Amino acid sequence: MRTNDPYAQAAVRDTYHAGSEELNPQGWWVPDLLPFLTTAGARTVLDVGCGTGETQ
Amino acid sequence: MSLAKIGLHVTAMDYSEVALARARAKAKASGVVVDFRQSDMALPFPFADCDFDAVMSNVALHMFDDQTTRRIIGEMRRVLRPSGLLLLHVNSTEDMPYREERLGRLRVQTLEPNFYREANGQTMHFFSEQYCRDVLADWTMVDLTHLRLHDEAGTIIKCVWRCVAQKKASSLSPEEKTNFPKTAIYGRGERGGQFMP
Repeated sequence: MRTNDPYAQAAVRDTYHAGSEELNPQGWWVPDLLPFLTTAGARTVLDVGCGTGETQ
Repeated sequence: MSLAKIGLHVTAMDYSEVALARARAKAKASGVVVDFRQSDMALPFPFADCDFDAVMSNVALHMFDDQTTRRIIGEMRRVLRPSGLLLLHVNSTEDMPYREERLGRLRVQTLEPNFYREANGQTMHFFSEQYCRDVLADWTMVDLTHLRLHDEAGTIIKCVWRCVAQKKASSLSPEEKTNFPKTAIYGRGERGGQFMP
């Protein structure tokens, strides 16, 4: 960590994701967004900051 | 993965190679195809204009200062097709004490209003309703709901804003502007269950 970094660098994120635990075992987030995606007829989705894949 | 499982074409980007390695392994094990890309979201996105029907970011956009946050949202707008959807979950200002209690991460440096560096080096920006509306002022707000997430014992453990906004396009019909769910999917704006940070 460098204190002058404007935001956390990749090493901080790597450490956060290095464990084996599921970060979102209940599958929050996507189920609540799905009705909006469906209504809009979305076919192509970009997930920004996908982490270990539990957010999509 | 759930979006890919129902047939959507998902492109997923993250800064962390460690996270992406885990995500790729899960996708392979699940038999779903996701286009994973390693990229720093604070930099220009490696995609063409109007590439996507929707851009989603769940508990990830809230790690940046105000200027960077606005630049990222600008990139999200650029890669969205006209009338495309932006869907976000971001930490709310109300989450500060819960986050500190849950994770034991002390805020050790105030970088900007509601933007802190935590003891482990993580940077965290807590969004107010006014801030959500301000950074999305050029969008059509479809949904802005404050959610208090609680564990199985009913204890609040996390507070987020769910923001759904539509890229403005002059050609939108009145039906397109209004044809979205009108009520919070979480019912009373709360949801239980186990939460892992």
